[in-house]
Amino acid sequence: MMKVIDVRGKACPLPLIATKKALKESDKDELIKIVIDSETSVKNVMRYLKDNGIKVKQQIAGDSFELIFNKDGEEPVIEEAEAYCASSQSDDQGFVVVFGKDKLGEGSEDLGKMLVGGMLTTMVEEERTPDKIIFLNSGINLVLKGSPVLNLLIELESKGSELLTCGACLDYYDEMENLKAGRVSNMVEILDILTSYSKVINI
Amino acid sequence: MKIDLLSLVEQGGCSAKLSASELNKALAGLPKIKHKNLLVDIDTHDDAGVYKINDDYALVQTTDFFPPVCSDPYDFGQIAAANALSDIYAMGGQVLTVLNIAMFPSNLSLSILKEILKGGQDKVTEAGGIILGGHTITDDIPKYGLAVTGWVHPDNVITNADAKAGDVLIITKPIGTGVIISAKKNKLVNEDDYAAAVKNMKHLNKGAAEIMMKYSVSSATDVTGFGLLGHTLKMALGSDVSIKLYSGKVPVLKGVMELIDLGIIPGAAFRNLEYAEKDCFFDDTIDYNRKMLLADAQTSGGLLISIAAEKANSLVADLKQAGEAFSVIGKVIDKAEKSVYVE
Repeated sequence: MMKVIDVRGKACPLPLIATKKALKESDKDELIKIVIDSETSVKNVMRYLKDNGIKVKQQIAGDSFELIFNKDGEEPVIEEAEAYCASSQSDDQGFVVVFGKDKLGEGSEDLGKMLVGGMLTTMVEEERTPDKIIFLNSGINLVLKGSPVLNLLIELESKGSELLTCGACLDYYDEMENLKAGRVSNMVEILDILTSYSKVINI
Repeated sequence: MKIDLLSLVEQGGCSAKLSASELNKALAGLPKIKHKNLLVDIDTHDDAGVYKINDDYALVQTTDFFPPVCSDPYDFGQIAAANALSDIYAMGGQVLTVLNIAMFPSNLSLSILKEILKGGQDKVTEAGGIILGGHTITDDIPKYGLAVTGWVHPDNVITNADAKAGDVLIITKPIGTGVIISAKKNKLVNEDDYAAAVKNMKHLNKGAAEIMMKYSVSSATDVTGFGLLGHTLKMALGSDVSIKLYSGKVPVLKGVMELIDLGIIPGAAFRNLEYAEKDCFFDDTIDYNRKMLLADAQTSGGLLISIAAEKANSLVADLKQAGEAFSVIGKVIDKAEKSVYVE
C-alpha cells in the first residue's frame, strides 16, 4: 500500500511539512510517495530526507517529480513503478557528464583544453543540459579559480546543471578554497548518482 | 482597510535575498575600487561601508529593503527600518540621516503605504536619525527599506573581521524569525509566538550597541539573512580564526523548535546551510532541527559580538541591567581545519 501525497502548487515549505507529517504518521515499511512540481522544493525535501538517512527513489512523471521512500530509510523496491518508468519514461531521463580530466581526448594538451571549451560552449546552447556534471582528479581544474571555462560552467549551472566536485580531489591538490562553481561532493554521493543514471558520459 | 501584507508576497519565494554564492558570481569581475579613505569595503562582506572624512569622522553607509515579513503595515515599516539601521550599529556607528526606499502596487490603498512609512519614521526617530526623503516606485509586491548614513570615529570602527582567539561570542537577540515568518505566511503559528517575534524584530540594536561601544570589543556583526551560522562563518573567515558555536546555548524564539519539527524550514535555511557547511563541522550530537535553526535567515537579528573573555562578564552585566537580551554562545579559537565548529 502506498501513501500518495500531492503537494503540487504548494509553496515552500509546505511540501516539507507534508513530508514530515507523512513520515510521522506512516507505518515502518509503508511506502510514501510525494508528488512535487517545484524544483526548489524537490531539492529541499531530498536534502531533508538524505540528511535524516532516508534513501529516496526519485522519478519524473510529466511535469512533476515523485519522491518515493519509507520510514525505515531503506531504499524502496517498487517493481510496478520501475517498470512503468522504464517503459514510458526512458526518453525523458536526464544524463550526467563526468570530467575525470581537464582536457578532451588524447594528443595535444592545448588542443585538448580548447576542445573542452568548445564542448561546454555547445552544451550551453543545447536545449537539454546535463542534470549533473561531476569533476574528478585533474577535472577539478575546470571549476577552480582562473579556469577559462568557469563562466560556461556557471551558465550551465544557471540552466539547471548541478556541478559536483570530488572533495578528496580538492583536498589532495590543496585547492579547496579555490573552488569557484558548484559544490563539494563525496564518493558516496557520486557513486549514487553514477549508479542511478542510465546515461553517464565519461570525459 | 485591513490587509495581511504576507498574503501579497509571492508564494515559494521563501526569502528575497540573493544567495551569497550567487551574489559572488554576479560581482565577480567587477573592478574593485581602492581608496585611501575607504576603511571598510565589500571585501569582508561587512555590514556597512566606512569612508573616512577626516581624523575624527568617518561615514558609515548601508542599505537594506525587502518584501513584507509580517502581516501589519505599521509593523512592517518598523521592522524594515530597525533591520536597515542595525547595520550602522553593528559597525559601532550612530545614525545620522536616512532615505526611504519603497515599492508599492498601484492598486492598493495608499493608507497602507502611509502606515509602512509611519512605521519607518517612528523607528528612525527612536534611533535619533532624520529622514531626508526617499524614492517610491510602483511594483506588484510592496517592498520597503532604508538607505542609512551614520558616523563613527575612524579609530572606533567595529568590523566583522577582527575576532581574536580567546574571545567569547555573545548574541543579543534570540533567533528563529525566518521560521516564524514562514509559519505565519502559512497560518501555522500561534498569535502569541508571532507577536513575540514581531516585537523582537522591531527592537532596535541601538541599546545593545551603545553598551558594546563602552568596551573595546574585537569584532561585531548583526545576524541577518545568512543566518547565525553564515554570519559566524563570515566572522571566522574574515578574522582568520575558527569559532566554536555552542548550539545548545543559542537563544531561540518561543515556538520555533516545534515549528521546525513540523517541517517549517524556509528555503533560505537550506541555501544558507549549503553555502556554509563545507567550512563547518557539526558534532554528531547536534540534532537536525537545531542545525537547521542555526541556518535560519534572520530579519532584524541581534548583534553578534566577539569580546576578550576577561571583559565579557562586565559587558553581559551591563546588557542585563539595561534589559537587553543576551547569551554567550561561543568561543573564538586559533584557526583550525574548519572555520566553525558546532557543538
